Amino acid sequence: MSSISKIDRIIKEINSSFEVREDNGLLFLDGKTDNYDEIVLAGREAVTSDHYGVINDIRLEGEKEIEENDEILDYSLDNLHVDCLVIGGGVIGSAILRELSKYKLNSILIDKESDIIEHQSGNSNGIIDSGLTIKSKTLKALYTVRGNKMFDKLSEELEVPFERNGHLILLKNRFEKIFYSKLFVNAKKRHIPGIKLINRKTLLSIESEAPKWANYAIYIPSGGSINPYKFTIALAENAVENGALVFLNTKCLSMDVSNNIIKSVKTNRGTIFPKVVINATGIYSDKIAEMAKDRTFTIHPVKSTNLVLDKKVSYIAEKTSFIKSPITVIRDENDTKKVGVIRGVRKLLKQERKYMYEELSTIHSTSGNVIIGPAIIETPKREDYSSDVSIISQIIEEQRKVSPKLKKSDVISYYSATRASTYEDDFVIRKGIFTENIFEACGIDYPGLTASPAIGEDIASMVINYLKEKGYKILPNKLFNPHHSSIKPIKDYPRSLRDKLIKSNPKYGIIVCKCEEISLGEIESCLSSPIPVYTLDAIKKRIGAGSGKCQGSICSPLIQDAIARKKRTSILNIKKSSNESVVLFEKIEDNKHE
Amino acid sequence: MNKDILIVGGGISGIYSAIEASNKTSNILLVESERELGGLLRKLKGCELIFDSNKTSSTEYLRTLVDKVNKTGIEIWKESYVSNILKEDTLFSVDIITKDGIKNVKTKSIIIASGFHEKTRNQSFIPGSNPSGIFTSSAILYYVNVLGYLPTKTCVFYGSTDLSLYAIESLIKANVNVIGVFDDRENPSCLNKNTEDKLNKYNIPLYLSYTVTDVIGKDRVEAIEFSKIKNGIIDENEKIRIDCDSLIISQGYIPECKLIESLNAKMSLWTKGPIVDQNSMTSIDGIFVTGNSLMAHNEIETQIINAKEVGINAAKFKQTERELIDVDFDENYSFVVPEVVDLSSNLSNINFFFRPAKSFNNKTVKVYLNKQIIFSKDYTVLYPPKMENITLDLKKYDLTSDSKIMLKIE
Ligand SMILES: Cc1cc2nc3c(=O)[nH]c(=O)nc-3n(C[C@H](O)[C@H](O)[C@H](O)COP(=O)(O)OP(=O)(O)OC[C@H]3O[C@@H](n4cnc5c(N)ncnc54)[C@H](O)[C@@H]3O)c2cc1C
Repeated sequence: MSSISKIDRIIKEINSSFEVREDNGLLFLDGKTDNYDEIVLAGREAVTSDHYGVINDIRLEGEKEIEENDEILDYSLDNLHVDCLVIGGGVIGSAILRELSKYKLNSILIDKESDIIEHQSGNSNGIIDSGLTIKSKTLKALYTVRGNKMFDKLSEELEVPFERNGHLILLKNRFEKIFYSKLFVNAKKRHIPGIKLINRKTLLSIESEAPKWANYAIYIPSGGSINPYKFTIALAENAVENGALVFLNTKCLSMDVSNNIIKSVKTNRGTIFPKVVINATGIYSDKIAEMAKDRTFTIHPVKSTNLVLDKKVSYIAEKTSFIKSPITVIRDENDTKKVGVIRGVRKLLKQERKYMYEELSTIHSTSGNVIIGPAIIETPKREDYSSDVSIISQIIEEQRKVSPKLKKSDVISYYSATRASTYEDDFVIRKGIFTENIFEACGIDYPGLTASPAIGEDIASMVINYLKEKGYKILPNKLFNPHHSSIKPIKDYPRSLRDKLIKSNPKYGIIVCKCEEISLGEIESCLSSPIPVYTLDAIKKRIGAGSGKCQGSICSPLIQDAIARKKRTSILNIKKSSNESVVLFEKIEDNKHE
Repeated sequence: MNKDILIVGGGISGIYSAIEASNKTSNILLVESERELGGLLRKLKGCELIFDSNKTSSTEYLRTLVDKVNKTGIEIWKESYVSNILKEDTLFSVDIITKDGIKNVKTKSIIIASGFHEKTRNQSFIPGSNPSGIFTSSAILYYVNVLGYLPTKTCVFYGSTDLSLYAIESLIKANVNVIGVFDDRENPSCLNKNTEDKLNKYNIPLYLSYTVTDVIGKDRVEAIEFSKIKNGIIDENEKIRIDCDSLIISQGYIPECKLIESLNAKMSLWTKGPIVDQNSMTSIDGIFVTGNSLMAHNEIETQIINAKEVGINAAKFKQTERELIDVDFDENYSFVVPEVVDLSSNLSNINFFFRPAKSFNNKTVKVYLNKQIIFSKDYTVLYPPKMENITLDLKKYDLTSDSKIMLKIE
């Protein structure tokens, strides 16, 4: 009990209204404040190893909950009986669905958005992390290291662009290496191959434009990068090719749980009756776990902001992704120095801000556009995709310490998205504790993309074991085909093949997106895939049409027109993403248009 | 297939270059990526152009122009896309994507007239959420004038370039409520004659020194928040929230130079287009650039002058050793074109185009040659949106590779 009284003392120091209580192996926090930082701090301070997790119910005053759209769309799924219901179609839900499609099961996946890559998985930076720097004894470390090793085979099976060129931690002085001795121990323990300290000469042979100040680097060869959208989509589409079903615009609203079993799941398209439910809802995963009466954790959204650079400066990170060692001081000491011993809660609150740019990396992406990010900040809003100019400018400012030549005009785009972090700072991957037929794959923040294949395997095997225990006979899907053909840009085809393709279908010869040289034919074939999504954003993320320098300002009307023709509907029905994201309002009357 | 000249882009500049060059050779190929010729002009369908101070219907104008170029008998490929240029000895080998396959064309010279794109939301660093309803003026013009659909009912503009004025004109005709035009600059970014003509005519207020500080709306724009800029800093106390369904961005133009950049041509820090000599030839012998891919024009007149010259120059082109000297200019210019002069080429009557970096009253544009004034012209007003041009006869002087040409505003 002493740990509880200690927590009580600390959180009261943060805010005297805060209360802690223990129940069922969980820690509950209550109270109210108008300072969001206090809530997060209390949540962090309440973490112990003797509880399942922290349920932080401290209310933020003055912040109105964003109204959720719970309108009923239709009843097309009403009374549907299935074996497995995966809720949430990010990379985690998709990886699980694909693993489940290896069995003769009736598996479906629902997602509330118009596409499966709207939340974290659609905004990921594509890093395949080595797992080296992650805290020991966490599921995060375990699954990341295991997931990392699975990408060579998977990317080949799914035809997704993947590069394993390594990651670097850049150091200025040789003595800084001693701060990293633990990494070498970790590498051994975790079986991460080949990490070594390299000098500038070797560094330049890997990254020819490495910053001038970097005299040494720690080289981690197993680090890589993948196209995160293509990977997520390929997983889900391959599952569909193997018999699973995906329903978009389908939101889980509530569950009927009795005798520790989920009987049914209510959605905006009717009530579904599954044997098992898998919770892979990312930023909402604590809410879904609560519906299943199995909540043991709290999601505190962390907003991550990133910049995308023009391809013409791709030389900044030609092959690898790298981060400046936080110990290395380049110019301004106060900005890059790690914060020392923590004294006093107030001080801690202020220091939070300093961590904002701690993760800032130079990221090589498979598309050739270098990504700079992330800058991170706690936010009470689960879906916060807005960008703050001061953060963007600050990223550029901070990054100049690493790449002094970086110009604001090199930035072609920026994006922000929230990561689903828990106070325990670990993934929640388990069978239900309080409800037997729920499987949680929750709180999967960075590097969940890397961990996803391993998580998919384990959750699927937990599900199979449970179903077997329940007496169901589970057979393998003998027809399972791991191969998926992803759409490849035809501009990268050998000339003769491209020419042949155009001759077989002239639409491959009509270029719609001029920045990225993408043809009408490619847009149409993207809409003939196993999970067709008829929106501008979907086309942009799948084949890059509209993602170039002009950001779709020239080609969006043409792409919209192409989607409408393919769907045989009016161009008025083609949206940016969600059903409400209308682009065109009406046809202009009495006008002689083309 | 062998050609004398390949012209990339069938907008007003490409067409004028083609017509002019066809007086010298008819072995010309004009390639346009869209379904019809016209480029920007096509999007201005139904708008009134102000041209040599006369008002002209853009539809009429484009029709005459297309007729003219058709009559020259040169080859024109539409819905065709120049994908790749390779330099081979004396010729360029060009891959063109067409509906019938990839065509390879060998050509002696190339004119790039592929236009520009407008600065995007991201390039203007606009903060806030990312809903539907954020457009550039050119996208608006395409939706309204080419496709015939309305992307907005109530909107606000950010930026006051000339293109925004055409977009406003098109929207007003379709009964759209244009609440106002905001600009982060202290002066409008369009030509005075256009501002007066269009904004006044439709009674649309212009708010200067305002920047977007928030975009509100999850699925579709619901409101835009603007804040006043005072002494270069955002004033938190002077915010305006405009309820509307669209934000239309008109923040300026960026020359479309993908092809020429892929050949590693030298690029200008000032125009963001390639560096050219007095013949509009880039650092790559035989490749010329004109129109908005050379520099942001906003008057058709200057554009035509340049396009015609380029047509002739490309037709005359012969491989020779160039002897280039730099043209320098002071900080009162935002750019001067050309930035280099080729001493081995024609030096009489060179057209210099420039934009002042800010507004000036009663100033003199002076050209120095080795510290000696060789040209001066008085201007009662100079302001950034108005591109000026002066003609210099450099043949009169004994120019050597050590000569220094410097433009100043004094
Ligand atoms: C900006 C950013 C960059 C990142 N970069 C990397 C990286 O480089 N490398 C890396 O390994 N990891 C990275 N990550 C982490 C990684 O992206 C995530 O861990 C991973 O995508 C999590 O996947 P997920 O499927 O759990 O969640 P999500 O992708 O968020 O998917 C959850 C899905 O659940 C759906 N959903 C929610 N509620 C409901 C409901 N009630 N009913 C139906 N559906 C619902 C949502 O619509 C959503 O599609 C990054 C994360 C962010 C935010």
